Amino acid sequence: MSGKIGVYICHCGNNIAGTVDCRRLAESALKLPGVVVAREYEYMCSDPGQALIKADVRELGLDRVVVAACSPRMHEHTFRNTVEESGLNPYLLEMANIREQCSWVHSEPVAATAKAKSLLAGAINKARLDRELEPRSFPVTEAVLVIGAGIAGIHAALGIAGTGRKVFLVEREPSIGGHMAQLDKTFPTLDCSACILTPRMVDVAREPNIELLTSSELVGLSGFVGNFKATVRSRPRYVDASRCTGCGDCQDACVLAGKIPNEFEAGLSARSVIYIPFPQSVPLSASVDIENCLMVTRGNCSSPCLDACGAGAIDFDAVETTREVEVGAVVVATGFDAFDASRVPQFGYGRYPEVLTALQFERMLSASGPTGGKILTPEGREPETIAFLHCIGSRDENTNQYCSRVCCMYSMKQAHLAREKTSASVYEFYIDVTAFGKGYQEFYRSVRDEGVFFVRGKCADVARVGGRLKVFAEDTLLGRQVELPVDMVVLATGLEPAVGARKLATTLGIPLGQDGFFTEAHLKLRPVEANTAGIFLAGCCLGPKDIPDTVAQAGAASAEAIGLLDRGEVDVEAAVAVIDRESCGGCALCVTACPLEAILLDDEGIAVVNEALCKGCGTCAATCLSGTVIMEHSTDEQVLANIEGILL
Amino acid sequence: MSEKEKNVITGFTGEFFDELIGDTEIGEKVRSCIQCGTCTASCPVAFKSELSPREILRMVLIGESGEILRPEVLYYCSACYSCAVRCPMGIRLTELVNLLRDIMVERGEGPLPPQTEMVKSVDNYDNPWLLPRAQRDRWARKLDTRPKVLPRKKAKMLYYPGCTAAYLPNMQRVALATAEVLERAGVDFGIMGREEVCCGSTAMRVGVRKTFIAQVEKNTARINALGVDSVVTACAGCFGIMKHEYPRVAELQPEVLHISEVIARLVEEGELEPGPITPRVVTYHDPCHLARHGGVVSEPRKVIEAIPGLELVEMARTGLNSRCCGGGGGLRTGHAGMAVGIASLRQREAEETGAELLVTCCPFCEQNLSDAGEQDGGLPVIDLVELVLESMNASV
Ligand SMILES: Cc1cc2nc3c(=O)[nH]c(=O)nc-3n(C[C@H](O)[C@H](O)[C@H](O)COP(=O)(O)OP(=O)(O)OC[C@H]3O[C@@H](n4cnc5c(N)ncnc54)[C@H](O)[C@@H]3O)c2cc1C
Repeated sequence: MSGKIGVYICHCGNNIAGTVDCRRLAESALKLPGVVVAREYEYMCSDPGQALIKADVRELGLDRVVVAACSPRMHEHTFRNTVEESGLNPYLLEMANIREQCSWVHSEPVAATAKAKSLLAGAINKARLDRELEPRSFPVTEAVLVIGAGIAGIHAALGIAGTGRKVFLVEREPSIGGHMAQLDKTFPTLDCSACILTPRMVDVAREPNIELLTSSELVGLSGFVGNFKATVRSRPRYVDASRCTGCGDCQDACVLAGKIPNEFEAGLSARSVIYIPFPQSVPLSASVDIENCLMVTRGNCSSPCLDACGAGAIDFDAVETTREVEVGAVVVATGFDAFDASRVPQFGYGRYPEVLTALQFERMLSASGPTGGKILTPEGREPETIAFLHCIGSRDENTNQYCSRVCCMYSMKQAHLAREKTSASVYEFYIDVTAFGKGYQEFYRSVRDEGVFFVRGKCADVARVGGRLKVFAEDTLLGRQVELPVDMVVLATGLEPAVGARKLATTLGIPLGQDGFFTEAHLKLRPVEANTAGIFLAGCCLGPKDIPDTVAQAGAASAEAIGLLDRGEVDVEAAVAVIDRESCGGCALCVTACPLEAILLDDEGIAVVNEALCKGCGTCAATCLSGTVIMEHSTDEQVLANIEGILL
Repeated sequence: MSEKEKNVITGFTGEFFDELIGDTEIGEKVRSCIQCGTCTASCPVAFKSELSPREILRMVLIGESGEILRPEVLYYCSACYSCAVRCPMGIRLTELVNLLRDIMVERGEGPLPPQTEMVKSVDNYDNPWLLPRAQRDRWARKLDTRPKVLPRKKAKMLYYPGCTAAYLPNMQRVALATAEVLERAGVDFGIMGREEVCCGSTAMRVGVRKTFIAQVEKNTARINALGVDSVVTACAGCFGIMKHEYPRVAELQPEVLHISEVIARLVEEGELEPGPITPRVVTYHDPCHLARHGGVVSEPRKVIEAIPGLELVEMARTGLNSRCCGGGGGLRTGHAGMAVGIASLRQREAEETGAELLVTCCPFCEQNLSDAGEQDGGLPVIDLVELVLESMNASV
């Protein structure tokens, strides 16, 4: 029990003091038993604010500290450190949230002050019962799991592996590379995407510290920062990648050759069932498309691929494998998927063959693409007019509200390349041009100078009327309607979270934002961390972005992960659940209630808590019928004292 | 142009906006307009009106009420909802224009003379066609089996033909066909006879709120007292209004259904079996008030596809992206020539499909598209219910 309590009330500038009368709050606190000092200060979290607390602990011999300020989520950590530095156990600090739970949500000063008094009295009452707890630490596993091998995952994996740490790089597709592998040239410098990406992909294949798991997905994650256990499931490729030479003979032999839409070519050409995703694939090995292979789905096919393979690499007896790996940190880099243009039928995608998505046009531009780099209409001629339509599936309440950030730039890049390769008239139908990056305004300017015609107005629809395909819009600068006959339309489809992001978020236990992308712990100050310690995020899985930003984030995420491994050990929460063995009846309610699987029944049928896994959420204690599970720092007595203080 | 100089903008805050628009359900979103022009480019009448939808919206925002609250500006909108469904900011521009009409009428301007006549007719005779109440149920006399008249008799469903199908000689075939189809499919339905009154759509669309509210009140009171489970209509206008606008004024208890929904369900449940009819390639025109306002897109198509012999081909613009015929929103009454001109554009799209017959299910679309066909050529127009009846006749 405590004898000397110090109370510290933060104004938070005007955030609290604008509504709550802090002086009266301090006066009221002083009247409560055990309170020997109550001070108010403009910013308690500032150095001078913290110094006030430290001086009082030393000079007045305080044995409890109560801070009335913002949410403990914001500054509990700060003040625990303050208390610890002044020689007290950090768990003897208590916070009253009079900002988020009071001043920010109330405007009437008298009532708000009365509420703040109650909240503070509750915290003081609880503080009297607070006990010293000892923080514990655990060693960190020196390995990292990277999920997704687009440019973000590749960059992060290489960065971490370069420091000598083991990396497990998990990619869902049979090859690494992600969307960047599909691009032709990249804005604003117009360097060839394959030329800058392929060497990095080859580096991944060569790096001994990277263990590459393709056709694989994460299916389970347990443990905690520094000590995760990840379960990875790998689909069979039915081709032994170590024996496959990448000759491609199996592709030609396949009975379904030319029958399956080629996803790498965005559906512009067809492939076989056994296939090498693209010429620069890593690993450079064929793989069987499980969904379409007759041998796999029906068990009957003459399987000419087996005879065609000179290396004897094909094996239809291969099975799915699941393995568990131990890692200290996780980097999520699952990127994006393009918006499905058939969701907005007014633009004619799927109805008119002249209407392409940007990714399809990207493949058309590529020298290794289905047209050998030629821009061709469905009839195989060079188009005379091409319209690029911006904001398809972006900035629209009917689809996605957010801006996809790269479409303006890639559309202008594609317009530039179209002008370079054809003599077509090229139009950009835009609302605003988003060109914010380094060199981007200059690029925009040069595309305009070259003669790409910009029409300020969002396209309303694309329809074949009067025998001609036309783009309908308004030239909003003139206030006139536009009906432009065109030979080709390219839809600047936006970026959406990768398919399966929601499932992955559940597996990882981290949240998605309203837009479906992963959320960072703090948009500005912790931009590549998830809310769960030890999980980092990079690239388009956080939201649409260009390659420069993706790579910058991947570098940051890898640095954070390396930093964590470098520390060698992690402190874990001291306020964990403890079991009173005498009263436990072994009903196991707590075992099922625990979201982290941190409780088990021992040989005697009594609950035991794995303290390393316990996060102190308290679900078990709330579930326990016999009061056996005691939640440290939130014991029944402490919680009741808190409530009592508020009510009195 | 020299006479009417453009005002110099001296401020961007409008009392007009703040007081009359900004806090309404529709007005709340107006501030978010990014002037992308989707509305204007989607608008079937923008090329005719002095101010485009986008400009009207901007003027509303800056409070230029003098420039917009004029019949010459506001009575072009055909209430097709194309702008509303496409607006990336979710602004219900069709409804905003309707609100502006309300305000203008309140201030003593508008509607246009022929529209005023129609509204007066609704006030006096409960129909826009200047015809006596006593003639409302005449159409039903032509039926072999007369439908039950509610509330004297009881039924589960009310068939509400609406003024156009009940009164206009060339449209009565829709009412007759509907009643016969329901009868022969064994549906327990009745009509209100002479007690039926106009749904109020005509008045609402041109901004005469008072008349509209009076009609809603009459209709909800009378229909609620019938004890039916549903009200079915074959008029897209009545349907959209009853389903989406009535609830803003008063509660209409029975479920509101369009005849295409009812027939689609009867076909699905095997209660109605269409027989084979003369093979024809048809195309379907989505009435704005059925598709975009009412939300019914797939049912009429299901019905067409269920009739053996018919092959459905779609126009370049279909479903929620269908192009307006120009018949709605008071345009056909106010600017008849223009309405038919717009219908001709739609007829061109219909012709391009190679179809030989244009199917729709709204008396307004039907009349307007037929008139366009007579004037500039095009496909013959038929109501969906008539085709259904033809196929039922074939099956016996
Ligand atoms: C048409 C178009 C043109 C573009 N042009 C340019 C340009 O010129 N310049 C520029 O800077 N940017 C451009 N971009 C943007 C660029 O593509 C992205 O910035 C970049 O690809 C993002 O990389 P990423 O690694 O975050 O995501 P991605 O490239 O999407 O990679 C994600 C990887 O994760 C894998 N994955 C997904 N889910 C899982 C899972 N659950 N488990 C395992 N693996 C998973 C995917 O298979 C993929 O390999 C363009 C984008 C488009 C659409």
